[in-house]
Amino acid sequence: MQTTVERAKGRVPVTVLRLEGDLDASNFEAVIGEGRRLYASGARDLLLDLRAVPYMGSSGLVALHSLAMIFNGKEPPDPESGWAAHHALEEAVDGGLQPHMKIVLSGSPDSSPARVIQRTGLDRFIDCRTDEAEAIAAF
Amino acid sequence: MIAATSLLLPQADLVDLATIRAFVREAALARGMAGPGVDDVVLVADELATNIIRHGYGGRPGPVDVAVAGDSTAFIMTLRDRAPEFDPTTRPAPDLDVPLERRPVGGMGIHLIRLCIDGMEHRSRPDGGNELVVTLSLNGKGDVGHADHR
Repeated sequence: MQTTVERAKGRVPVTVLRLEGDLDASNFEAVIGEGRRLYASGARDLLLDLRAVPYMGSSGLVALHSLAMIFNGKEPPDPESGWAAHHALEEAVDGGLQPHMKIVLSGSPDSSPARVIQRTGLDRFIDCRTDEAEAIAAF
Repeated sequence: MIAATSLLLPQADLVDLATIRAFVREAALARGMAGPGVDDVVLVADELATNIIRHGYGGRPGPVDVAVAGDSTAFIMTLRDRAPEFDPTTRPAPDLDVPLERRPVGGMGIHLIRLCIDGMEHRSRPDGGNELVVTLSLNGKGDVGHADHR
């Protein structure tokens, strides 16, 4: 898993975290750690680029939950909490899309991240788009 | 080249998940599967192997064997380990009529597995460990599996 960080300027400064490679149980905690470091260094709005992630399972979902919580100023859930992480995120954002993290996906609805996000309903809480410029402008 | 039917990992670690996924993907493709069905097989293998290593072995390396078989109607995958006995089929199935956000705590992985498989059987190995046999229909997912998350 390779990670790249870029800065983008929309209506607000946006930090773009690009992941390249499979996101699984061997590396999801490193991604959460990267999110913590970015937030600690002052980043407040995160665009997570998953277009170069060929595979993502439930461990990747934990990373997405955790990043969303971190960038909303909350403590991320325990990695074993499963649906409780969904509940925690929903409560943190009062049931709507949380404002400080978005995801950019490849245009294919059959991509592994897109299918997993759709199947678990995570896109109800995290704004997922396929156009990066549009996503940055939407913060 | 003839596709292998089994993958033996005497000291499987989390970094070996990629090897397991690649093996299962190749096996599925060799059996004529295509499209999202292949991704489902890979997802199930990854979730089950992750459970074995993270929970069965407590995150430490341990033996994981994966074997594949099947015919024109089904893809059958068997995972064997030496972890403490755990029968996921005895876990109650979640109420899928409950909205996603109101389901009880536990198991994103099991939700994903259930969406993909048609059945799962557990056997305790006579000399210790577990054997899980997972069936995925090639004619479309039946969503009647009995897997559960550790």
